[in-house]
Amino acid sequence: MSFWWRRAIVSAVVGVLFAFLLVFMLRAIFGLDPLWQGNVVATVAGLFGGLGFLYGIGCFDYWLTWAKGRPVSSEDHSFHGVSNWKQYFRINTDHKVIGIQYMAMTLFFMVCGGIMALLIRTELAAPGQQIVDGQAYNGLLSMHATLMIFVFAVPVFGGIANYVLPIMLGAKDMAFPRLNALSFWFLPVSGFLFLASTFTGMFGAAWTAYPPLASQGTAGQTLFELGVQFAGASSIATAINFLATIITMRAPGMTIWRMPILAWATGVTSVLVVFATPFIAGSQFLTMFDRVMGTHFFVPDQGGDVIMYQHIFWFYSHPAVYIMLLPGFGIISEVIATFARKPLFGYRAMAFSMVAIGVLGFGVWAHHMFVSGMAAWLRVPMMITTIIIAVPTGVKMWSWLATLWRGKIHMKAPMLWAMGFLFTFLIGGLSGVFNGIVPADIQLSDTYFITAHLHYVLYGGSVYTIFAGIYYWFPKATGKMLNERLSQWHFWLTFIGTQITFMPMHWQGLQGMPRRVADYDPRFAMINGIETIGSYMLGIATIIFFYNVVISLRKGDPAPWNPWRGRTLEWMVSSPPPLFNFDVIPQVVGGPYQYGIPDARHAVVFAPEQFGGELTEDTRYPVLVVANDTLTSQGLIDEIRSRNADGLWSFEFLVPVGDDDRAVAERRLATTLAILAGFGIAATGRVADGEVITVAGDEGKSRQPYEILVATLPTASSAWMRQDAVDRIRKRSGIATSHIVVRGDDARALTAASALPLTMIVATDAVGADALAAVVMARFDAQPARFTIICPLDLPQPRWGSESSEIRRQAGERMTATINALVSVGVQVQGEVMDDGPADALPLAIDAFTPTQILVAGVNGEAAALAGAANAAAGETPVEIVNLGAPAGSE
Amino acid sequence: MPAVYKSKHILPLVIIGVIVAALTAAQALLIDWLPPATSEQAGRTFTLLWFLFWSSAIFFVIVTSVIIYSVWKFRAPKGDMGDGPPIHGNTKLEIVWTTVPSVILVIVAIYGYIVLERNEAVAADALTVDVYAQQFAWSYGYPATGIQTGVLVVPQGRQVELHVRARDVIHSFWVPEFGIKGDAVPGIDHVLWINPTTLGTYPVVCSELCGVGHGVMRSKVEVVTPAAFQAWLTKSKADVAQGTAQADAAATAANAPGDVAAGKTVFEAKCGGCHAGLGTEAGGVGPKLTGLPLTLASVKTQITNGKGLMPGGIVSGTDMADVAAYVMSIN
Repeated sequence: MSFWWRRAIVSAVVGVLFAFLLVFMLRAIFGLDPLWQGNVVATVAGLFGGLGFLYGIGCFDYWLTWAKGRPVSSEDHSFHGVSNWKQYFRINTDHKVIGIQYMAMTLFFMVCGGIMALLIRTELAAPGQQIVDGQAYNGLLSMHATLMIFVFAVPVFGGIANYVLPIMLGAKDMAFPRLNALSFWFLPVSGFLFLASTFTGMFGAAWTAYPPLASQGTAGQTLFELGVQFAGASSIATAINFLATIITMRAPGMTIWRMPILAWATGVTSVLVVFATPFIAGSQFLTMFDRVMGTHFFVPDQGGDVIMYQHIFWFYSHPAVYIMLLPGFGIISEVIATFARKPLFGYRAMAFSMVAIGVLGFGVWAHHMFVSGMAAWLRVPMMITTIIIAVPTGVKMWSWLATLWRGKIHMKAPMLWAMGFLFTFLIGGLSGVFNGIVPADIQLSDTYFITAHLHYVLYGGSVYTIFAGIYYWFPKATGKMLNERLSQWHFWLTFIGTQITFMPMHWQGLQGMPRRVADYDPRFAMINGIETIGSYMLGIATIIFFYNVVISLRKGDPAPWNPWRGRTLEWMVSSPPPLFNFDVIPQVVGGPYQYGIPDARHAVVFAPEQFGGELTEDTRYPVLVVANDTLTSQGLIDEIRSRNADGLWSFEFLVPVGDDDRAVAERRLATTLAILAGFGIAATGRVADGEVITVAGDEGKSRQPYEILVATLPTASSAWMRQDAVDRIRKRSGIATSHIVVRGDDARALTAASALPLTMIVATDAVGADALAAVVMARFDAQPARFTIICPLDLPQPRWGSESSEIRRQAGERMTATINALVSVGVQVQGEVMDDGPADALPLAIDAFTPTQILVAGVNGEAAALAGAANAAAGETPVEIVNLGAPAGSE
Repeated sequence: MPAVYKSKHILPLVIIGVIVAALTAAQALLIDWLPPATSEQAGRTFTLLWFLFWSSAIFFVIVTSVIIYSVWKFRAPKGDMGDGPPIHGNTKLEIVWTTVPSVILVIVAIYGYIVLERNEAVAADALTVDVYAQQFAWSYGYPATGIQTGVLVVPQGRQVELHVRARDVIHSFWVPEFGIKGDAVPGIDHVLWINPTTLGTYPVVCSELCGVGHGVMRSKVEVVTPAAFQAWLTKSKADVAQGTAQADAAATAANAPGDVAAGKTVFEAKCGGCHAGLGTEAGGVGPKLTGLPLTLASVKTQITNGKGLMPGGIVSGTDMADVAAYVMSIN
């Protein structure tokens, strides 16, 4: 065990012993009877034990050193970053390490809470008692909700945002790294206190802990009240940290309207946390005082007011619902924009609707109390605010749909979760409107309908969005890709399991089954059995998830910097990112979702200053492009252009020829490089003899590029893909390898968007002659260009007659032969047979193709006649005449 | 986005919409969602629930259809690395999808408000009944009659005004068939109004977590004809009068040797909720009553005074003697 953990355990034990001593001494001094009072001891021991642990693990060391007047170095980064996995278990100030610590810790508590849920469902599988009695059942349901809310759903978003947000904003870390570490270490203390209540008699008053029931509880209830304080302190500290980071640490050019939506979501959530969390802290302090100190805040016959507790509690706990949802909305917005390849629809409306939800979220708390016996007049105003808050939520839903509309949707794992979220959260949102209407809620309140509603909201709005975020950023955080097949299994089992488990609960609630009961009317037996099966599916799905994480971490494919082709800043750093994220802070120049706008940039990443300014060719990160058949295709060119817009990469082509003709490959490569040069992209390349997997794999291994791009035809028609080239290159080189698929017709066609010079060849009888092909090839080898062959036919009248048709047919055949001959040696060429004579046809053709040069090719002197017409039509375009000698077909 | 109006997407989208709508309507109509409405309040509330359902079904069908259609039709072909059109928003559309749902929500809220007002309209001839909740039993009192019962008896066609109170922690009085629920809160007199319309016996369910016996905290409400109610009232009043006169006799009866068979019947009704298997099995709220060091006197003391979670005075008089005899017989 490390020094830090030994110190933490020793000081926690010392804290507990000190608490025992203190309590006994004071009780003895004041003559209180009995001397042993479990609640009092639990309170003081929990407090001192927790603080002792935090001291021992090192949360306060820096501040204590400073307070003692000893020298401290604010630039001492010895607790920043990790070099091996063991260091994740000690205090760290690196936001990326803290993010992963948060995720691991909260997922651990999710598993604990999930096991409680499975026990609950097992107990409910049939009427009567199965595995636990009523007391234990109340403990299980309280513990399940408490763990899931206070140490999973609320802080897990802190984990995701901790990792991603500073990078998204272009910052090197959070604003207060040491406070950040303290926020994290509050969590294990909080979760430990909750779980420890298992040994003191579990708290059994539900997570709502309404007095007077909560006042009856055992010492476990005290541990709950204390645990909530630690979790709340963690939330508040993190929220302040996020606010400071978002407000003060954005990269230059990152105006608030250029922030990714996740930054908006985290900002609004943090405001909610800062204003609301003190209320739950207050409510739990007051109940604790009632229990431990004998105050009467919530003791009705001593002047206390139990309804007051509910008001304070829900004044936090309703905003808490949005604390558990808004970050998820942010994650889903990122995922949907990236995987639909479209700008987020209504960015500003999205941002404003989150602000609106945040503000209105404080005005709806009493809709949890329609049947509580509170002031009756308060119900209708709360119904109205509840109705109003549905509107911005609806705006978000519509905007996500509009983002999907006409997008190019890639159903990868993060997107699957996003779609699952839309469907599941939709049902939760709509059943929420039922609960918002007072007379309906009077019937539905505290029934299984509420259980269904809240699980649809929190499963859909929190769990699904968390998994979307995990699948989205896992490659970034770990440098490994998750196994896609297992990811899909995880999603579908969870999605179906969710519906089977929670959908029938609506019916149960409407039919009269109250929530939080260990036993129920036998007529609900079958439906409960089905729900239990659904919950087991959820359990299996979770096991698949963790299995996937473990095997992917051990031997997953290496992740490129930008596996999803996202546009926000975290995708412009390596996976995982360097210690301080950016060598030099990037300059933001545009919005984060500029999909579909060619050459649009979100940010410019500058090289270290000593290299001077923007990354130059020498300092750009190399990408190895492996292609042969697909060179010159529009698909490949477009992909290189869009990647080039990042301003980070240099491109090196590698063309393995195998058994193919080397000269052809060289021509294609020359064309490609020339096209790219036309777009200002300086790429290099070479043709290599040998098989693709060997050549590319070894090149990757020795050159160590940032990424390998393998461009092939569709799998069915690609010789490379028949050998499973992409995966085998990835294995052989150990480099992240991506696959670009190019359609067959695209690979052979003339590249549409190309700055290459276009040479128009005017020929009639020469078409089809080998000499013509030789001339074109020679021209091409001199300077890469595109060619279009025009064959203007002076047809005899009538043009629909059989003689004309025959001439036309023969010309077509000769044209095809020439084009095939040229394409097969790697020259880009197209051709057209025209019905009019040169005098009429050439002006039209020159107008349509706007060639940079005209080449008239003729046999037996016909060139002169063609040249006359060409010169007349050409205007300022240079015309050159080539005489090829013998006519075609005369041999 | 205006492409929607003129585009080729309309027809297939409408077809998917019709299919989703048909499935939604089928599950709504084929499944028996609600218990019978046996009060005026339940009638109005259940109609409101259906109105809410059909209003939200509109949104459900639209959103689900667009998701299905988008995932199906706008899926990027394999290997397509291109982007979608750079559409950033559409002010007109955004105004429409903010306004239309707002209007529908306003209508829903107004309807809800009307139902609430009518459900809580107080009748002049309302019958007042006190409801007492305690861990884990319900009891009912009829003011000015001295009647205390464990079963709520109410007349058909007359408004009942319930004053719900709690003796220990918060409970919640709920009759699903009446569509009415209200928390029993210590220190508060929570008034509920019910106009029963249908004869029958319905469950009273505690719907607020109140401790270990929450799941078994049940009782019954009987809706009887006005004539039968009067008869019951008269008889109960007489019982009370007799009971007062015979208080001493009851004390004597409690000390008389009880009848085991009669005790078993009473035990089943009054104690069986907590003591499983007629007191012979563990696992209920209360303990198994066999194999304990009990004496007749200790059993009677505990029944009278209660202990722990068990309230005192659940049974008294002859019943207590019988129950005590039964407990000793199984012990």
